[in-house]
Amino acid sequence: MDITELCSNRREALTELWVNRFFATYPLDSKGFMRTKRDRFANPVGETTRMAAGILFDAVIGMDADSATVKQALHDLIWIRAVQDMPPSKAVGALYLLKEILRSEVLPECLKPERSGFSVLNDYLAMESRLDTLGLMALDMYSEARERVFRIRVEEVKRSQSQVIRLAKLRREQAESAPETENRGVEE
Amino acid sequence: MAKMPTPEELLAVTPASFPKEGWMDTKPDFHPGSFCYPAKTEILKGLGFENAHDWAPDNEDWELPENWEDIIHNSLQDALNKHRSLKVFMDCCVRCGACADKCHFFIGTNDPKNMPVLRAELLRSVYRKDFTTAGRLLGKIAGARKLDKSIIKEWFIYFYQCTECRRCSLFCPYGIDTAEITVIVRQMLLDLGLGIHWIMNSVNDCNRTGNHLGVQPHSMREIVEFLCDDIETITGIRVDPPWNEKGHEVIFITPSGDYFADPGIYTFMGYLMLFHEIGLDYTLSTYASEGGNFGSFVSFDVAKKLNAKMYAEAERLGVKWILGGECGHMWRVVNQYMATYNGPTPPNMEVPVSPITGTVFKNAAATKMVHIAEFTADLIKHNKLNLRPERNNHIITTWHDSCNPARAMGLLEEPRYILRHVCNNFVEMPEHTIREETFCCGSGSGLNAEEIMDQRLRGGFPRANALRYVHDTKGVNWMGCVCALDRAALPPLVDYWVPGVTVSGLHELVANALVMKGEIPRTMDLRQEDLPFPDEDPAASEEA
Ligand code: SF4
Ligand code: SF4
Repeated sequence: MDITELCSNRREALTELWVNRFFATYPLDSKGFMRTKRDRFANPVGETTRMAAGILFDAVIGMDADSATVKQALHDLIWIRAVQDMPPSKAVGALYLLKEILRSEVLPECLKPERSGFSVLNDYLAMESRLDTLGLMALDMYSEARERVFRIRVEEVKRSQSQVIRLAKLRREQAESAPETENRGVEE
Repeated sequence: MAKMPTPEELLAVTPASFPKEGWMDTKPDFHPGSFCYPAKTEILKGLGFENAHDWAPDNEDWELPENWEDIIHNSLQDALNKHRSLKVFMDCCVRCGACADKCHFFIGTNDPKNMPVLRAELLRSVYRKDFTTAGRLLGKIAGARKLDKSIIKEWFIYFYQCTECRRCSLFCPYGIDTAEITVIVRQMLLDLGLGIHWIMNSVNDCNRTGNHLGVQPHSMREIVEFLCDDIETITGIRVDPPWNEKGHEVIFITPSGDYFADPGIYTFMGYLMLFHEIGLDYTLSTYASEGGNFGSFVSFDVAKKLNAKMYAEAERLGVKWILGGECGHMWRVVNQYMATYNGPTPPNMEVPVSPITGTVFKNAAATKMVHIAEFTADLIKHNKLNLRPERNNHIITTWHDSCNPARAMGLLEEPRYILRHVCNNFVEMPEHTIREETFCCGSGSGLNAEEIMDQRLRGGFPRANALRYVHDTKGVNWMGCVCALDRAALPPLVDYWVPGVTVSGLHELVANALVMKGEIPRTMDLRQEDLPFPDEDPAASEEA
């Protein structure tokens, strides 16, 4: 049995552990709601997290995963956490909660004497490396999200003043094209 | 080797605002982005708030007046005397939890103090201590707690994290209205001299110039002239709205964002084009230059004062009724408070009758004020408009029910009716996220300040999430709404969560589809972008 099969056999239990770790990064009184309300519109943070965890788990364990789907899932997860008032380490780092789960739940399996031989351990390490890759991608996504927030803030100010800017431009044009007089009332 | 935390240890650090202890004992955390900038002292003083003073939310000491406890006590007593509803709200919550997960701020932040029941509890616990026997005697056991300065800070954070959207009230078996509680607590905070700049600056401008943006009469006219220029470019028709003229049938009042900010201006152009086309006998006013009312977010008294100009101007100009533009909270004020605040209506006003269709708007008999969506839907119903919805064929639109028109006045069908006549592709977002149950934009009640953008983005996430679904599954690329704050708040929300969707008012779409008498063939929309399905040029087809 290779590592992918080993993990995918326990997919449900392992992703559930991971998802619960995600939820544990939220306050105690909210955890229950996030876990039990299974409606993507009533509980979008919980359900997006759950959906993303499933897709990312498959990618980590080496299932055939469509890279666009994986990226989108990671994006959805990180862009939520990027505006949830938590430090970047926590927004992105929650991915690594899976590592601990894998080490306690899967690694002992790999180390069993009957699985001895290099291949399964190598496969295990490759799996962790895939998780590291996701972490790096998440870092890019996080900073992209923060940059978007700052751009949005600037653009909002511009939008809210659009007609004043237009008026100010007009005034300036008028002032510039007005004939020179002693006192135009326009300060230079 | 240096001791480093494990990733698990690092991640166990919950944000300071997330309680590990029971909520009552958790102190709020202030860091940039978690609060709105405070109102300027001179502005609050000018508006008559005696205890206005310099302070900063992230300072430990807020420099409250010495007798701050008495002020709060009296302020609460005063509110309880004035609003019987408040006493009921304070006494009758049975903590059933029906409201708990209905607030977009809770859903988007997962912070328990954003559960409406806990938000109200922030006040209720103090009320119990001071105003109920059980609370006085039993204290914490009866859910009571003694007022201290950290509670004031907590109020400032959490009552400025409620958009007064009233979604929670819809699910409460007793109809407890958290929005009203929020307004009252904000008023109590103002009594201590604590307000936010974004709201109070707008209130101050409105108090001085009639509108939130402080636009003076000549500038308002100049700006509207620009928009008339744009209309001429697009349609070849010069519209010329009357200003401050006596003797017209109707005065038109709309939020200032409509003639000031993108994308509101396109909706405003839509109004002007419609009025021109139907030959409405109306006037604009540079005095009643604002339909919105930022005062209503923080104080009933201020709201009343700002709202008074509508009837004052209607009386001065001798109009029969008021036609109101696309705004959200303006309609909550009009529908729920205006008759009490500023009524009875001036003697020259009459029950509104559409001069075009003869329809009597009996629903507006008390306020004499008709929502433009009602007015336009009636025009369409009577076949009074020549519409070419094909011009909007590149648009697959959905409809965002703005909280106040939906929940405070039940305006659900009219906008949809109009939308279906001006757009061939209309898709609803999933149930439980629309109509009465609509999710807030996350920036209402004066919380569209730029410094709390993160809060707005997470508060608006449930709305955006439902939009994203129809964007992904049905190709929705447009979202209409009937609120000026939405037109300001939804573009950033959409830009973050669902890029590729355009936000607009209803009458922008109406005017795009409206065929005006004598117009040139339309090749561009109101934003002066090329129409993918332009009108046929009759000259060109003749040549061919
Ligand atoms: S009124 Fe709206 S924002 Fe305020 S607590 Fe209720 S649901 Fe939340
Ligand atoms: S739904 Fe009403 S009664 Fe129930 S907890 Fe919420 S506010 Fe209290």
